[in-house]
Amino acid sequence: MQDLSISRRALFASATSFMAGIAALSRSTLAQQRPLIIGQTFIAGGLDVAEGSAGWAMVSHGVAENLFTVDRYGHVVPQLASSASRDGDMAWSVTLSPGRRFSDGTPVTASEVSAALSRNVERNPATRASVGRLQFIPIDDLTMRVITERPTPVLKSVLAEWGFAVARAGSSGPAFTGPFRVVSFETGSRLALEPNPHWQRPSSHSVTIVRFQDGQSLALAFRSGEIDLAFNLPVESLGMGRADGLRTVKTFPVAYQYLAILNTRRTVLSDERVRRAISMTIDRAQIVQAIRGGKPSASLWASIFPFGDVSVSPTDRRGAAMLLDEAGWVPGSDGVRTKNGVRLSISLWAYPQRPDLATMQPVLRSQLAAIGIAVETRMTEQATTLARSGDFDILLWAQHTAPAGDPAFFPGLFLASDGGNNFAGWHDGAMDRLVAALRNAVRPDERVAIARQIDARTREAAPVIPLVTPEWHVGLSQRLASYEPWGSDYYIVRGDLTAP
Amino acid sequence: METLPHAMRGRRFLEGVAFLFLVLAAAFLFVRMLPGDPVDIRLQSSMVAGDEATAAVMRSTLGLDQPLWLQFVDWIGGLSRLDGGRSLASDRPVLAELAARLPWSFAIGNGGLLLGVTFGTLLGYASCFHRHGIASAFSRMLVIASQSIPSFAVAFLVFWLVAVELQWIRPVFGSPIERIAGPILVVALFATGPFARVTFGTLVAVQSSSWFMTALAKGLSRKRAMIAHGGRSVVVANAAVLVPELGWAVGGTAVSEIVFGVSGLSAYIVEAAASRDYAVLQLYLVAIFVWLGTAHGCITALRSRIDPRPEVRR
Repeated sequence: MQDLSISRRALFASATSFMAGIAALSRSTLAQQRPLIIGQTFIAGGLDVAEGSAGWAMVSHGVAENLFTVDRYGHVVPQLASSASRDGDMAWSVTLSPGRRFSDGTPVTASEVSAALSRNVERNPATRASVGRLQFIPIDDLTMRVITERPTPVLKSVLAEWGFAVARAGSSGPAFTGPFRVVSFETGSRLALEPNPHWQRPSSHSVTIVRFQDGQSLALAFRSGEIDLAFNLPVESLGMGRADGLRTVKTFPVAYQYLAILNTRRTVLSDERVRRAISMTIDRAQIVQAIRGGKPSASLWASIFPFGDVSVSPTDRRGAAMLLDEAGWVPGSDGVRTKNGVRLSISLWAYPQRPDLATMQPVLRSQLAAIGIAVETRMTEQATTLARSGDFDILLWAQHTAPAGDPAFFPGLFLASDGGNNFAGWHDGAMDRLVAALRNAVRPDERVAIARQIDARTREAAPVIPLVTPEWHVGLSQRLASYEPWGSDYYIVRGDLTAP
Repeated sequence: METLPHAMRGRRFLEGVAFLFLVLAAAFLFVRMLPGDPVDIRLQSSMVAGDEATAAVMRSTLGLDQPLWLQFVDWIGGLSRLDGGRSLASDRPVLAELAARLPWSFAIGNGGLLLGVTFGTLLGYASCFHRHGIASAFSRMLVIASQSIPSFAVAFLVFWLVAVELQWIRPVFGSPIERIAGPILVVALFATGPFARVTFGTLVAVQSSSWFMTALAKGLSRKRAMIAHGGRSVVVANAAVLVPELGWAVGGTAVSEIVFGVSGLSAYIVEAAASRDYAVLQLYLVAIFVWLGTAHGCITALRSRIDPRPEVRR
């Protein structure tokens, strides 16, 4: 009995002292002034803005800037530049704002910016997507000439794309111009930032961005009080965050669109009537209910943009059934339609990086079953690889369709016959002409009108079916209670990120 | 008699070199057999289709246009100069990247095992002292739970309990000890049960041995005799359990690192696997092989030292 007591006491004492020691360490660290902690599920893969999507990440992290940017209302506004004027079909003059400096103190000059952007164009194919290869030629300290490969009336929007983030190669790593500068970087995990003293209104707080690979971990860390800003909390964790008066959760509409991409190379989906029938069957309100947030959308663009169409056609299952009848697909004995002995069965893919898409799968399966289409739901970790392989029938896809505040990005990349991301494999002369017209249209009202025509043509042929404009959820501690999220995941850490 | 050990040592050395070569070749071939091309994946991450010229330049820059055997030779040559190549994703030296993360994973994996062995052994003794007591029921529950509950669910539960409800630790921004405490607890929770039951079973067997009866005849109580004379058997038995638990430590460390957001190897390796970052994956596999091999060797040596009978029989 004595031995047992000793053993129990030893066990209890060890556990208690282990936890007490940790708690003591915790309290001592708490006493120190800590930076603002941002938790999110992505972080820059590297600091070189010319590589992959690092430019986007570094802008989102509040480190890098572009010549132009998109404000919270979706307008393209100057950032490092002050103006841009068109000199000819493919020639522009861009003037830089005076007095700007890189985080290492070097003045932002036309030669520095030209060198930086030329390197981006050389190394990153994403910079050539909109208007081909751009050339940047310094004219004087603050002016440079920009030559485009294809004519464009919206160079400001092009330069607001994430491929054109500006960075100067310094001896101790790249120097940027954003409100914060890099102190340390653990690839894939953490990014420690301090206020950039050369920015217009330097912040008074340091910032640390911590990456969580799992949204639930992020939610728990937020609930534990360690995170000041938890970006894009999973829907199912919201009750947990909102139940605590010390923390708030703000929900905001984003400019992403959830889309269904239909593979028109497949025999079944090559028939426009079948695609339209699918589109007419989908009840978007039911999808919104399933993912518990967002707005039904039948437009390629979110309604915050002037070219985004807010109207949503009502579900018409009778009309959809008639279209399928007309296309020769007749109801079989098991409720699934057949044609020449072939069942109307399709695969519906989603990817786990956007959990909402997986939630939408069973809803769509049940909706399509109502008109006699059998759906097999599948998941892939490599959505882009699958999309490029063409080995799918329908692929659910999340996309920011106007990242630079201009409608030309999405149709040029996803709907044009020669679009780099024409995952639907759709070739349509009318759409190609509309895309070309949009590239050349100058007046804003003219661009809006063409964007609307593109929307209408897309609804008519349904190679891509817009479903929902989602809402995202940001958890905020008391320190950041006044923070207003906007700009999707493009501008999370901003110059106005400050605590009282 | 003097030449035999030297000959054996020479043979062991050659066997070691051959083993290392096989490990390197296996790691290289396994990684290169993964479906998916790193250049395609990298171009796809740029959100546009890269043209053939861009892909060719990238492939040439990364040395992926060379024959496979030449890439292997280059890699081995680099390793001999302590150069593990550069990460495709971050363009930083792989050795430096792994070295920065290794201490976290090493501390979590080994710390969890150490805690598991310690508490498992204590629990096993307590179970044996009172066969139908709380300790015995708890150790059985731990074993069943470790077989039936997914590790990520336990990791979330531990996170919620120690960081959210009890606020004992700050796993994200606390001190290094706070950051690894939760993951260590998760690894330990899964390891404790098996060690407890093996300790218990060993002590039960010990009680029927002749030398244990002798100890009792000398006047020791049953519990004192178990503490004084059962230890050696328990260490030998637990050393045998430790070998398969090493594999769990790798997996458990990965899961708990991801859930607790620790900057260890796991998150990095997941990213590397997604981007087919060959240099990172190859070196990681080699590190795991070497760690498992070294640990296995140490455990075997420990067992031989404590209980040389199997060696003598061989």
